[in-house]
Amino acid sequence: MWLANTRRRASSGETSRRRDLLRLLGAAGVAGLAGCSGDGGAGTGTGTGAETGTSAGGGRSDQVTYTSASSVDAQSLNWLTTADSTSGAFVTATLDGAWAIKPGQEIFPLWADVSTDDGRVYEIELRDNLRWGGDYGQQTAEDWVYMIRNVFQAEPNWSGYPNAGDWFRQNPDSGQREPIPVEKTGTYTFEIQLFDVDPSFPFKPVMWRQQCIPRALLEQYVPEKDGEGLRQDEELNTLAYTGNLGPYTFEEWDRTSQYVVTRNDDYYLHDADVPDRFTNAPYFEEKAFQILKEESARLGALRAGDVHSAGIPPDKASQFETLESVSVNVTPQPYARILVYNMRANGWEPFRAKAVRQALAFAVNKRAIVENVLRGYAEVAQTMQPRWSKWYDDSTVVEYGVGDRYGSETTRSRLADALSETEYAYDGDALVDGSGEQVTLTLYFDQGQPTEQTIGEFVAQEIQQNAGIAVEPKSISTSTFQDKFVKTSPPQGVEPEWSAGVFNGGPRDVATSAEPWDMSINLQFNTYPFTPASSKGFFEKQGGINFYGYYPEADIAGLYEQASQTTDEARRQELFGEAFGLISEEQPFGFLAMPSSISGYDERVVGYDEEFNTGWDSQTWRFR
Amino acid sequence: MSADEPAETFESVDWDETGSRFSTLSRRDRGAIASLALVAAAFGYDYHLLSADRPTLTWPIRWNVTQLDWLFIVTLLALLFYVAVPLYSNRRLTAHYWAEFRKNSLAVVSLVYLAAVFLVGVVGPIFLSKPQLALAQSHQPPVYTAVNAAVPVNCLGDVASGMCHGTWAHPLGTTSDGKDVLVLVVYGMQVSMKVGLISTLLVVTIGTTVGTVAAYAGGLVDEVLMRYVDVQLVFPAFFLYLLLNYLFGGSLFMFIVIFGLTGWGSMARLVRSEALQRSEEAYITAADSAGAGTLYVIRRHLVPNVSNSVITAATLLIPGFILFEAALSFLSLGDPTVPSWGQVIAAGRSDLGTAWWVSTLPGLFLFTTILAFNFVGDALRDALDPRQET
Amino acid sequence: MSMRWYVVRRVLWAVVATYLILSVTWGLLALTPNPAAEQLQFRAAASGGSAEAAREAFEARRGLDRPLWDRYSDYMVNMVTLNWGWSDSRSQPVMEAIAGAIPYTAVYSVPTTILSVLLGLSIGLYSATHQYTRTDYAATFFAFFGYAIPNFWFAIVLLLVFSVQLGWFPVVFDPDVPLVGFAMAHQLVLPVVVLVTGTIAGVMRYSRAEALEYVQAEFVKTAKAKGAGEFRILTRHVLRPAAVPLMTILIGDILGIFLAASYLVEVVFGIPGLGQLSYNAILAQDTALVLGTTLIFTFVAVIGNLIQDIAYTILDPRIDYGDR
Repeated sequence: MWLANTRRRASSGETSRRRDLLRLLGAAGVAGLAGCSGDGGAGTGTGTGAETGTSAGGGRSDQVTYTSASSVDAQSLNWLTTADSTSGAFVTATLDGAWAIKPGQEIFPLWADVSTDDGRVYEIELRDNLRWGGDYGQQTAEDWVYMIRNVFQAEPNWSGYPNAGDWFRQNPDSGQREPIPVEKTGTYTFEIQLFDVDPSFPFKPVMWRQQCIPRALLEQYVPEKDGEGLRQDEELNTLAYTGNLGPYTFEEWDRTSQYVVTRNDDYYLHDADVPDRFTNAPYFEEKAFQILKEESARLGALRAGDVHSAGIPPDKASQFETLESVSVNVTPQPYARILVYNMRANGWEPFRAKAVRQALAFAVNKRAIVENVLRGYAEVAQTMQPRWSKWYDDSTVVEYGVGDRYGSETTRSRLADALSETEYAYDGDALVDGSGEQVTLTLYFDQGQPTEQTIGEFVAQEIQQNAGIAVEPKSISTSTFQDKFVKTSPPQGVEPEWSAGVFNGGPRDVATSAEPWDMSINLQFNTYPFTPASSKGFFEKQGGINFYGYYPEADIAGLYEQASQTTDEARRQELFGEAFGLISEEQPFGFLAMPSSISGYDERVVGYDEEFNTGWDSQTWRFR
Repeated sequence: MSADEPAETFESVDWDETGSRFSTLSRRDRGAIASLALVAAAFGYDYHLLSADRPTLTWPIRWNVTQLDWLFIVTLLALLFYVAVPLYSNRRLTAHYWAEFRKNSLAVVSLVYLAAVFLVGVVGPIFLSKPQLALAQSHQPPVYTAVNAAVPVNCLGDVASGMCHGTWAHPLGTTSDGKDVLVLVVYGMQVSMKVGLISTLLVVTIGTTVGTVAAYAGGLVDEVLMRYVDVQLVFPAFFLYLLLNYLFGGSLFMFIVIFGLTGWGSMARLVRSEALQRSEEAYITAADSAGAGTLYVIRRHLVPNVSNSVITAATLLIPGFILFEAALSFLSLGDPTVPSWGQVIAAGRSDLGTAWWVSTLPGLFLFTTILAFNFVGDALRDALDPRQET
Repeated sequence: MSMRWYVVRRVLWAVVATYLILSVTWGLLALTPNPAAEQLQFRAAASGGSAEAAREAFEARRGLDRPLWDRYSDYMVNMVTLNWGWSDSRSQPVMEAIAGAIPYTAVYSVPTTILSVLLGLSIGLYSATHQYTRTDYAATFFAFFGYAIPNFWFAIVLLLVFSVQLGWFPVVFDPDVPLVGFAMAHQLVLPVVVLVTGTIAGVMRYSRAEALEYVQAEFVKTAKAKGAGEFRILTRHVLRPAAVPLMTILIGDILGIFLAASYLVEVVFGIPGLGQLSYNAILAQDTALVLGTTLIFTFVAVIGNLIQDIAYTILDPRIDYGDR
């Protein structure tokens, strides 16, 4: 699934060549030596192999190259054309971008700092020591304004820039979606003038980590609107313009195999007013991403020390926790595993009643999902915000599926009450319809995701046992799900009262998906802990993402809107807290769990934290 | 055949036969057609009169017959009428082949093994309920083996000195979902038989028809058919499967239909080249000059004479399909809700380091089944090959 | 009709067949919804943006905003003019992508082919001359072993045992070492073992069947009667006559070996060869790259079939290419 893909990001990668050589000699010379690079080798090694002499493991890596394993390759190094996280990670190693966000939601200026007086007009101030590579000279506000106006905000979007939508907003004066005005105010400063107050703007992925391209380079393509030329530009595709703008410089990219960058000796942060650890960064001579598609190979490489970091699935994490050579790092993530109910005309009609959804929330043991399927590497989800977020308010959130708010008795009695006005009733243990047949619902999950399959089968079992509804788990591919289940449209020739795009083609009685379905766990939803208002579309009758046909009873969207325009932090927190409380109460969909991200690092790597977004300062990571 | 004609001449019989097609059908063919009609009627009833989620049978067992099951029934009927019945009615020939076949003792063992897999696969799932998710029982080791007690969530068997021992409750252990591996293996037998037999039946039927027609008809018909085969042989069927998988999601039914319908190219070429040699032979020329119809010659003279090669090739096709299904499962292109061996092997592969049995035991069954088909296929070739009289 | 005319006709047909297959492939690609596009749209909608704009941007980027016919004719003209276009999923020219992948495929498939033909042939001959003996069973079992074991599973087991546990071979494939050299050979040991064991059975079966035909022939019996040694009989009297049909059958197969069965092994061992290239292209629906790789596979397969057909007609004088 897409959001899952984001998390399965380019975590790690490649092998140090020297290590292979050592290993090779070991194999060719004394066969017995080979044993020490086996999985227990790190703790008992003698340190013979390491040039720097500080190695903990015999013959493990040489401390020069940091390698991480990734399951997928990047699509391009030309970031104007990519939207996938691996490409993003590859490029970010050579281009820092505007600013980073530290845990605790604080801005850390990289190329630029941001300031605002009223939460509407933002001034961006660039550092004065940013140099492009080649002949492009200094990075100035001119580069930014030119790029934003002529590429991001170009109409039509000739370059195909995937995030162009971020640079357009509804103008309340005209009622139209218009480009956000951007003005140059000095050599190193420019202004972004939003139409409305938006205090969380710096935390949106609009300018956060936004990269830039020299004006002179873009000028080759902008006048002719030459999208093809831009896509295939040599310098953009080999990151030849990155100058001193990132901790590393592009070295090579062997597609489907490895991506290598080397230390940038004149990194602009060296003479900036930043904490000491940044002024000598980076600490790796070389950083490599090794692409290994097969999970067993990835984990094997981590175990054997061929890579320094790799993502670990939850059911393998405990094995790695027992290894001395690898430390397991668990960071909370904001992606919620959701049980979506189809409330449209081709779903099960009773889902439309809040009481039914609440009753079903009593049927699924969320703790069991967290403990038994995700092996404890997850949090129980109750609303559209993780518990660790500052917008989550314990006093407003209504909990379901935990403790005594879970169980067969309660589910049945509540469901019976909720369905008392309908044809459905209990016949013994089974919920039957008007003709006396047991209610059978479908539950879809993504094909090729074992963990998701287990969750799907578990949820099906729980609903079957606790609610007496027969549930049929079915697998489906991502794209089919999207095409046949998420896209909703009215029947041919019917003009709906309103339409909110391809995923919400009209009122739920009119617009439906191509195929009928009842429940699905195919999608993981981002809860946006930095910018909680971004999930507004999920809770509006006419929200662009409301493919499940949910009509809220409370005015959740109104609360969102009010909160997102409030500059007073405490008041915002209160308003969002209220909104997330309402969401947990209404159960627009069943919240199940928020899985954590699990990474294994070579025990000598230091710098990472057990916090969300811990990679923000990855240029300061180093070997112990 | 008009057997009661007293003064039967060669010519009169032949004219009769070409005149009325049905009269030339043997009792066996009629039996096959009749039972096929019966199955078709039952299918029509199930498909049009019963609602989709209503089971076809509620007695003696509750069984909602799927499309795949219907195809499997047809395949079993074909096996009955065109393999079992002929073997029984030509007892002398059967005895001769068996004597040849028996020389290869490995093949005999393989045949017994395959028969067992087939029977257990067809009957087993009736008595065993579908593998159930039981998260609390994940990763139980097989009986008589032990693993580090940290591997299963709870150990059902005895725990001695930090090792969890397997129990008879799960003789082959359980998967990471707590599903019983033995149950999965039994279900997998049926799935493998379906995959192997149905696809092969499709390939054999279409391939033999096209091959013999091309060889005997010759000329333009041959040219068109064979040139089409050229295209189909190089057509990436896998690609088609991948795209249909995108469009409709992967299913076993789709796998069988696609690879059955696109995989008959080499069979057609093999049959054609065999049939070309046969059609030069005297008995065909004789039948020709006696005025026998095209269909008659193909059915009564060509098909029986190429059947030896076809049977041998088919025996070797079956394991190919089974393996291919496993490979697609590895690429997560199969239907994960179908408990095929490939699915279990693929799902357990990343646990090989800790719970070796999840992937290895179904793998062992897959391995031995493929091996057995190969031994049987080779022995059949040796036994049926008329070129080699030892 | 002359042999030459027959070959010309078949080659022409091969071109037509290739064109048909490319067109069908293109059509299938055009029909299928692109998962990446769907994903972008959904992501845009989920964060409050416009799904429509995301789709338009994607189509502009992939050049999908033009009419179907224009796209089709563009691709086909490109194919013919050998300007195979730009791979969107790798952002490099298709030609470059293919040229980059071929060496990695060749470097393991050449040894694989040589080894599996040598081993398969020897086992086949041995098995034919020692039919139904215990060593025959052992040899046959060995040949079928690799075929019967699922390739991917065997590869993972070997990787876990010999690379991760024992550390005899590198876990991660390093594309930077020289193509011909010890380091390359070393890291290719496991993939070659998996592929060779997987392909021996086919070669062995053919050679066994062919050899069996000659083992009982009169001239072999005569040689035996004259006291010729076993090895001499095998090489001079059995292998020689069997070699011709064997070779023709093998040519097709060797080409097949060269290309097939390699994807799974490439994935497990992380080799950036043609198998991964084409499969990833399909997954990413990178039309230009899919067509480029399909063209290569189709071409090889068509040529393989052609050679086999010609061999048949030459070898069996009863079939003449005149009317067949």
